[in-house]
Amino acid sequence: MSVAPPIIHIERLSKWYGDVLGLNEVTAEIGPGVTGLLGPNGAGKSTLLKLVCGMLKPSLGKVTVAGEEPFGNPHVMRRLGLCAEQDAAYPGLGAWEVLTYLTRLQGFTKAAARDLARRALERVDLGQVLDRSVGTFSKGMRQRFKLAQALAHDPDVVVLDEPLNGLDPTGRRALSDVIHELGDEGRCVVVSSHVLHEVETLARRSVFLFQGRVLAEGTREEIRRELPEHPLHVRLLTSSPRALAQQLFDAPGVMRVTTTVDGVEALTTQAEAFFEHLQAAAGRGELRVTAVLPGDEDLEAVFRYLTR
Amino acid sequence: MTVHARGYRPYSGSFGGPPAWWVILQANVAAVKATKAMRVLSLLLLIIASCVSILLYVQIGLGERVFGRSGSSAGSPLSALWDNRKALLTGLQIFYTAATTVVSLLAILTGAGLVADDLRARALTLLMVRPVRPFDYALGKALVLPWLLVTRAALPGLAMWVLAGAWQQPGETQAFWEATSAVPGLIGTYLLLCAGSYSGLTLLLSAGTSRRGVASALAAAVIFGGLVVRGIGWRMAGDEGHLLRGMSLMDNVQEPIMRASVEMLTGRFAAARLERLPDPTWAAALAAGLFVLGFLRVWQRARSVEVSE
Repeated sequence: MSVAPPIIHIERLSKWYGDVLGLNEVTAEIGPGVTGLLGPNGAGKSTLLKLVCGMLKPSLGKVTVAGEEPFGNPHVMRRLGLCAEQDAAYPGLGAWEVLTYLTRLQGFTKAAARDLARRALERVDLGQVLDRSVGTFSKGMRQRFKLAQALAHDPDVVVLDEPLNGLDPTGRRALSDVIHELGDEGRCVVVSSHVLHEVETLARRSVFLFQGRVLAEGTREEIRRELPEHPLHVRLLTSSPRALAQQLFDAPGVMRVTTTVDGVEALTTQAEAFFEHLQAAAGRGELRVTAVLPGDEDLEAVFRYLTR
Repeated sequence: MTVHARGYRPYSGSFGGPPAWWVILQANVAAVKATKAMRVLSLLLLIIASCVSILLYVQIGLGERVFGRSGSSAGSPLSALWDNRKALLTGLQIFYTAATTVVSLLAILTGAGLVADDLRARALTLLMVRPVRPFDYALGKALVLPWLLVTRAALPGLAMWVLAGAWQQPGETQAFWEATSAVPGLIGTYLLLCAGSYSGLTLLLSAGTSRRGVASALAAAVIFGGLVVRGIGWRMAGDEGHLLRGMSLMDNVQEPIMRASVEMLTGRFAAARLERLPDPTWAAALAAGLFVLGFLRVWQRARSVEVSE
C-alpha cells in the first residue's frame, strides 16, 4: 500500500449553462488507478469531465489537475487524454495518419508522433488496419480508435467518457483489459458511465453523481457502510439451509430470513454485530457456512439507496 | 490526503514542440494538396504560367535576337525597355486573370471544407482538448490558402519577372529590373488581396456549416455572383454604379496588376478601362475585412466547441 496525493482535486465546483445548473458544488478527490464516475443521464458527468479536461470554465469553485487549473492551460492539456463520448474522426484519412496529426499537436516531432501513434493503435488491437480510413471502421473499432487517440501521447491523466458504449462482449472485455492496465500502470483514469455493472468491473473507487451533486465517493463497500438505515442483504451458502435459517433468527438485527436451494438470504439492520455473531457461532462449530456473499453491495443497490 | 492502492506514474511526455498553429497549417496544406481538385488546378496554373512565359520569351527574348528591334524600339534601348516592360505587364495581366479564376475554383472546392470538414467529423473536440488554443486553430486554418497561393500564384509571377530580365539584350538586364522594380510589389499586393479575400470568405462560410457542399455553393454564389453585379454596375453611372463595380472579389484582387497594365495605355480607351477598375482602397478594405471576419468566426467556433457539440 502506497500513499499518493490525489491527482484531480475538485472543490465546491459549480457550472451554470445560462439558467440551467449543470453541476452543483461538487467536491471530490481522484487519485491514481481507475475511478468510476457514475450517474444517470443528465447527472452532470460530461460537464464534470469537460471541466477536468479544461474545455469548460468553472462558474464557481475550483478544479486542479496535478496542482494546476486546466482551463486554457496547455501545460495541463499535454498530460491529459480524453476519450469523448461521441464519435470524432476524419472519415477520409487513415487511422495512423489522423493519430500522428493529433499526437503532433501534443508537442511531439513527426517521427516521434508516428511511432507513438503506431504503438497506441497496436495497443488497442488496431495494428492490422493502420492505413485504413477511420470512416470505414465498425463501431467497436471506432471506440478503440478513440481510446488510442487518448493514449498515444502517453498521458498520466486519462478521461474516458462512456468508453464501452456500443461494444460487443468481446470488444468490452478487450477494452476493459486496456483500462485495467492503464490503472495498474499508475495513471489516473476516470471512467464515466451510466451503466452500473460496467463501472463495477472497471473501477474499485467510484464517485456517484446525481442531479449535478455528488451523492457519495469511495469503494462500494465504503459507501454501503455509510448507509446504515438500509438493512444489509447477506447471502450465506450452506448444505443445510433450514438449520442455518433457524440459527440465524437469534442473530442481532435480523429482520427476515429466507431459505434458498443452496443457502440462506438474511436482512439485518446491524451489519457489524451480525457478522461478529456469525464468526463466533462458526468458531464454536454451531454454524456450517461455506461462503458469505454480499447481497446488495453491488453498485446498483448502492445507487438505488442513494437516490431513494 | 487520500490513500490509494497504487503509486502515481508521473507524466513523462513532451512539454515543448512546434507551435500548434504550424502543425495545423502543415497538416491542412498536405490534406488539400492530396485532393484531386488541387492537383488538377495546380497543373492548370503551371500550364498557364508556362504558356505566358513562352509568349514572353518569344516577344522579348527570341524575337529580338532573331528579328532584331523593329518599330518604335528600333535603335533605341529606352524604347525597347518600354516595350519589354509593356510585354511583361501584359503577360502578368494574362496570367493573373487566368490565375484568379483558378484560385476562385481552388477556394470554392478546397477552402470551403477547411472548417466544415472538422465540424462534420466532430473533430473539434479532439483538437481542442489538446494544447491547442482557439487562436492557434484559427491561424492554422487562415494561413492554408495564403500558403498555397505563394507557391501557385506569386512564385510563377516573380519567376516571369526574373526570366524577362534575364532574356534582355546583354547589358540591359539590370536596367530592365530597375524599370520594372514595382512588379514584385504588385505581385505581393495581389497575393495579400487574394489571400485575405478568399481565405476570409471561405473560412467565414466554412465555419458556419458542417456541410462542405453548402459552403462551396455559397462561396461560388458570392464569387461568381459578384461578377454579375459588377456587370450591372458597368452599365450604371454615379455612386450606385461605383458601388456595384466594387462587388466582384475577382476584380478587386486583380486591381493592382490591372491598374499597372492600364496605366501604360493612353487616350479615351485607357480612361474607360480605368473607370471600370474598383477603388484600390475599397479592394484593400474588403480583403482585410473579410480576413478578420473569417478569422474571428473560426476562432469563435473553436472557443464554443464544448457548448455546441
